Amino acid sequence: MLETIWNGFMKKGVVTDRYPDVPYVPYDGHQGMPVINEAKCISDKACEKICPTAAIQVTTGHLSIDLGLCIFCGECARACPHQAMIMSKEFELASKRREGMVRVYVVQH
Amino acid sequence: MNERLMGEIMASMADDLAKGIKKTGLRGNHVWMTVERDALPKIAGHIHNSWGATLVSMHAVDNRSITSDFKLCVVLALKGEDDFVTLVASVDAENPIFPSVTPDIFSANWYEREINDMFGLQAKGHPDLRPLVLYDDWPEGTFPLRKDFALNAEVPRISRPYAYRKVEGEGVFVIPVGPVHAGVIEPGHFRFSVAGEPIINLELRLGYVHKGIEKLSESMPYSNGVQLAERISGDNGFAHSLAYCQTVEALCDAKVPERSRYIRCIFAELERMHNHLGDVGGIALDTAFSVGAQHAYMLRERMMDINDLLTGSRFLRGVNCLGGVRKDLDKDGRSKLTERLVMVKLGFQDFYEEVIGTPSVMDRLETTGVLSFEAARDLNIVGPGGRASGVDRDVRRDHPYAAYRNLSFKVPVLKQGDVNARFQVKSEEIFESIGIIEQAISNLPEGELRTEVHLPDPGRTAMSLVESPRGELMHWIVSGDGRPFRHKVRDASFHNWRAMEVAVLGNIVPDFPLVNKSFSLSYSGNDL
Repeated sequence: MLETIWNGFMKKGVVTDRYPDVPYVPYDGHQGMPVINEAKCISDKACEKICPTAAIQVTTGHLSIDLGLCIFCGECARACPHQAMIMSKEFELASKRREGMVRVYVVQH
Repeated sequence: MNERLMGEIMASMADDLAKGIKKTGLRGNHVWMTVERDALPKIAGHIHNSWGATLVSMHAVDNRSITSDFKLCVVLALKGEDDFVTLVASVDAENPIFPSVTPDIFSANWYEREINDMFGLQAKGHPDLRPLVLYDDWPEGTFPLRKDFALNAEVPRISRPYAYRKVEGEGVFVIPVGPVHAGVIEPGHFRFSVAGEPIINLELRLGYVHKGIEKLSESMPYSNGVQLAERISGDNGFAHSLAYCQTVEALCDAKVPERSRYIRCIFAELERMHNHLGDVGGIALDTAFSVGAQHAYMLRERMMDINDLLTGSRFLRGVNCLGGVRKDLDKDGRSKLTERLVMVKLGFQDFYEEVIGTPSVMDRLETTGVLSFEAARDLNIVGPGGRASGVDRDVRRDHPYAAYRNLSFKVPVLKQGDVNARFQVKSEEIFESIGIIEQAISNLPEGELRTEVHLPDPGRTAMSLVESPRGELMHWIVSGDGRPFRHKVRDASFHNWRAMEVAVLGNIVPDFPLVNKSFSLSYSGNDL
């Protein structure tokens, strides 16, 4: 019993974080929400073609990413020849409505 | 495999058995035998029983578009050798019946039920051909893995009651549990029959999360298959993607760089560690030893945190790719990993001593949920569950892949077969994994991370076995035009679920969660 308390309290101290009061900063390699740099994108559809879950739709002047379908694999960011797509560190993506999961960007065409 | 061994296998067969073999071929360490359909059970049974082979997989291929028949494959691994025998039999498309292998190989039971569900090939003489993986309201005569079943086909739903085994008698009660459980876990239905406290029968009903993984894989290019494989059974994602990548690499004879082989070993062991830490924590939790459980969960979190730091994914997703790995382990990453391993090793030592020094915990673990060696062998229980019952088999040692040939480690095997034995095996494996990772880090060769992988030619076959944290899993692919023609996945849990039906007998219902946790079974991996 004493040993258990010693191992827990004294040896390990506090291991929990004060999230969300103190924001959590993900590691550098973290693959969060894919984000488009609208100035760099030329709608060449490389991301749309490679997306394994068809989460990306490119239409005239618009690029939409459905985060409800996205599996955060990063294929789109690797496929983009203009580095217009990056995997950001953003991970707080919950929405109360289904439409809230879709991000729409205005891009060149 | 050499010619001599193949000759010995052939010579060991009596004349009437050998007559059933139409053609043999040798490819690497793999003997292929085309056999007569009606001779299949006896030949498979002979190799299984006389040669001490284990059944790796049994599955069907819808070959009607090529040879106008169904192919039935039985894959056997020879004991003590890194060699395989695959028996291929042809089943008539018009008359889809074959003689059951189950009377000769007990562990073929669920495979034949699955083949019956997915392909509509009926095993004649099988003791129990009730649906295994199909939903209860799936219409009869609709077989999802046949090529003429469209990927997005919608089927009418019918009412089809499932015939549970009846256990009757004075004072016998039935306790149905699930498929929706109290905790946030996957769905499965358990039907206990109890006489007083002890369980006298348990019937499992799975398939509630069948996702059509194999069908889906046949529809997508090889590169997307890696992401699919990572999601077959979430916490074993690295083992699955590793097996998938190795299979595709074997299909196109790609030479994977040495450095990436070592890195694959490191991440495979990291995955084993966080799984085993979660399991031993769960065992502590289910004996109401909450403080100890939290210590294990803390260590698990530290391992998942280092996964995140090294790869950007707590579940090691995105590391494997066809031809190698994507993430390198630089000097900084290696030293952080070594540091973390020392910390976790010390912490785990404390946890382990705490558990075995707490009599109330050990009282629950010892002699609970005993799985005898005979049962484990006949049911073909793989992984830590089998090793705790004396089944001395570990794919990393017996069929080495990646860089395991160059790493030394011990395979812990115990005989007791109770929850405690499984706890001990997993604990020892955590220490062994730390040793493997340390060796791999210090011997990490320089060089490329990945090699170019071209598209495999159609019609080739390859297979890969990987020791996942839960045990041996297999991916088996026949290549098609730019995508797999047939992709068979077999998770460790497909074998191990059946251990539950045996191990809980005679135990009290409150010990069921404990026994279940000690086998750590995946619903998703079983249901595919």
